[in-house]
Amino acid sequence: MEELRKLSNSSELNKIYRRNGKVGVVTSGGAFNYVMDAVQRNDLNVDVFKVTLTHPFPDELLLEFIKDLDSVAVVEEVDPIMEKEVLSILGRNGIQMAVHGKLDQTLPMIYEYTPNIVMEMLETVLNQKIPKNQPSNSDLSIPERPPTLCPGCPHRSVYYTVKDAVNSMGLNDVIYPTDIGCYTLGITSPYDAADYLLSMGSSIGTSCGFSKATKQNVVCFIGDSTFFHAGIPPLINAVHNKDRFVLVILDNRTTAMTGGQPNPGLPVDGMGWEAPEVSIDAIVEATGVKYLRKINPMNIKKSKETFIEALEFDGVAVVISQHPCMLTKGRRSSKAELEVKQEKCDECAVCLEKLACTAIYKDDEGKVRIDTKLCNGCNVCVQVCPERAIGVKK
Amino acid sequence: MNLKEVLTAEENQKLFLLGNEAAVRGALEAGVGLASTYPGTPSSEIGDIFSKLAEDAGIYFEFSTNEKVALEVAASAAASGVRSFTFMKHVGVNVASDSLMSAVYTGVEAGMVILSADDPSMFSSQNEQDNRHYARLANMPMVEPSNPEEIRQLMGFSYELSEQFKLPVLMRTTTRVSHMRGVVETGNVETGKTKGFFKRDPQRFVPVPATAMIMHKNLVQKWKS
Amino acid sequence: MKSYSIYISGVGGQGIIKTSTVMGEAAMKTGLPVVMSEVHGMAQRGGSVSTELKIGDNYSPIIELGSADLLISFEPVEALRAVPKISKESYIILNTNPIYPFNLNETGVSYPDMEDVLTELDEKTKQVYALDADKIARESGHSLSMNMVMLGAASAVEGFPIEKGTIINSMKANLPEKSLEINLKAFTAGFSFVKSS
Ligand code: SF4
Ligand code: SF4
Repeated sequence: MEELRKLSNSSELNKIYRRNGKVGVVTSGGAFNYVMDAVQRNDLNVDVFKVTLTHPFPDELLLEFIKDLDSVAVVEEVDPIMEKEVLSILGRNGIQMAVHGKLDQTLPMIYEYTPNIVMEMLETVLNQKIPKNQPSNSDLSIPERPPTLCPGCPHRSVYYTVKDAVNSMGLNDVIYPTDIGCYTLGITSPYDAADYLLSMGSSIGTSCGFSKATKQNVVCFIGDSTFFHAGIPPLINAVHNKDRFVLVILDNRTTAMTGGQPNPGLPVDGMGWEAPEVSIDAIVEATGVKYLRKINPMNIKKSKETFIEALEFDGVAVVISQHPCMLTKGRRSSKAELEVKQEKCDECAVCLEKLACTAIYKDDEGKVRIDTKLCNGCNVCVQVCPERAIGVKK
Repeated sequence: MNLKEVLTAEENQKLFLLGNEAAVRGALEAGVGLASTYPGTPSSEIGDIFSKLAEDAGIYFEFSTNEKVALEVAASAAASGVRSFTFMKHVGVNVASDSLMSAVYTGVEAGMVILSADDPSMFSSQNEQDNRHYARLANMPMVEPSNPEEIRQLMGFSYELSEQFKLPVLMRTTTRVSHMRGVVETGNVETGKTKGFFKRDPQRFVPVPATAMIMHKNLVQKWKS
Repeated sequence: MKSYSIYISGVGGQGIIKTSTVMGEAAMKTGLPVVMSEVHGMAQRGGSVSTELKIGDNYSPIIELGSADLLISFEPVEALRAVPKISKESYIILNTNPIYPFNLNETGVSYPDMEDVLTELDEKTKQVYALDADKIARESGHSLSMNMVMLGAASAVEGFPIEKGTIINSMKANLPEKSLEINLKAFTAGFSFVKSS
């Protein structure tokens, strides 16, 4: 059988573009595009070696490539992997040649490249200016726009209610391990409900550790899809090792962050065929959890009572919060539009600052208002308003 | 464009495809019989499209419970002679890695491609790990496409390579390649074999210490003269 | 041909990717080489979103700094964020309808005055076409057709390399049938806005 290394050296996938260069660039993947654009547009005398079958690395082709070159640069994202291959091949063959890249700090060690990073690198190694357009820059300071939970998102109500429960019990220093999904956006204020995250399923596993290594209260969050993915073994661990924490399973019946794919909790599979629903409750029960409650997170009062109970429970307490994702399923069905009755509103800003639904805003006159275009009609703000100032538009 | 065209477009058509859409087209042209994933940005659209097309294409696709299961489903299909495709985001490969290491030891019968969609600059991830290390860690051949058309072409190449060396092949993309849209020239869609036969061979498929010693030796043979 | 670069910016959920795809596919149908870059995933949850489209002989879809021929911004602040991509030679289509970031109160940075935004953009570029695309969309039949108002406006800009008719065909191939009529109306309204400015 022909061995792999030979194949890599003879494969047409690994291609040399000769451009009369004394400098050569070894590159792969998306970085190749930046190199080629810069070289062609500016008609640079730079030879390019596009490596596509990158492992095994085509060592003989590299030797052929550098034969008449004075120096070589390696342009790759993210780690200096080919760069080290090149250095080792040169070393093994006793060739003295400058190799530019990440290791000699010609290129940044982290993050993706851009056309401009690559052009600047070429300017350095060629010691020649490349004509570039002068970018504009704005003197106005502009606000950031980070992603956020959708208006009417059930996760928002959960964060609001958990915080409310914790505050009403006077608990301090609660730890909120979180997991991977839309709900990771709970990291933002005013929720501040994301304290520790390692990977898929880590919310529960790390809660086990916090339960053993601290005396703090722990409330962790995991989504339905992530629970199926990696949440079950650590839950079994928690029960068996007698940990004490509250686990909130945010069951929004989809894999929302990535665009709403089904998961084993749904009656449909990847083929679009009917499929058995796997019950999260039954799994939790089977682990031997002694405190298990289900809530509708849009019911603020009941949810708060449940969270208080769960926080008082001495053991693993599981609260399954069930409500479909607003984006993929639960768009408002009724046409009734909500508004803030200005005569009742005393501008306490609970809805604006504690619930912080993105459909609620302060207008130019400082009045609290609801943007009916964004509002999904979840009715949660109606419940949190102490003045009962939010209601249906008449 | 209607997404169905990823399947229905005839040979020599020009389509304006996302890298992830081109991956599906390439797999269909290569006669893939089974595909599996756990969704993760920047690879998610591959699964979304398979989910829409698999039935019409007469192949099997699943959203697996996690990436490790997805890889195991694909590995056993490939061991049974069905061309398989599993794809995930870069950190998903960490989840799958336990079985991945062994799948390279045992090798495959029909071709198997693992696509790892890396996320430099972390548009949607907790880290920007470079999964090209996995090719070296596991001793597995790897290709790195630069655009959608290359993704499509490399699918076919990777299945051939995988079968020639009886090894899974890693295709490493990055966000900018997976989420790049470009003109793709279609090839012919092959109807993939969806049922194979697993021929029992514990010496080959069960890595316990005694057999794994030999498996590793054989694996390294494929790399060295 | 000389390469033509379009940068499209806005907020997750405004239909930016669809708009860009319609343009890209139209370019392909015209026989022009075209590449495009999209952002999916987390940013789509109400965050800043942008796509980049390059028509002509290019390998990478990512636009070099200061090199966008046309900036289509679906939101005023997002146009400012895109300023490093444009130059004195660029044209801008700007939707003047602001979307306030949810955390505006905490950032300590206030949302800039529309006057200031317009003066700033005017200074930095060749020409700004500012329109309330949301309003025009509503008048055309549905607020969701805002992206097609923007597309129509872009198609009318001097130097835009794709024929209007080709764009319309691409819309037909890419948009749901039942909303096509409204979308075409929105497109025409945007087109006329720029033509008559
Ligand atoms: S009902 Fe209130 S909380 Fe719910 S989406 Fe509308 S404004 Fe936001
Ligand atoms: S919670 Fe009620 S009273 Fe307080 S600001 Fe909001 S609407 Fe006004």
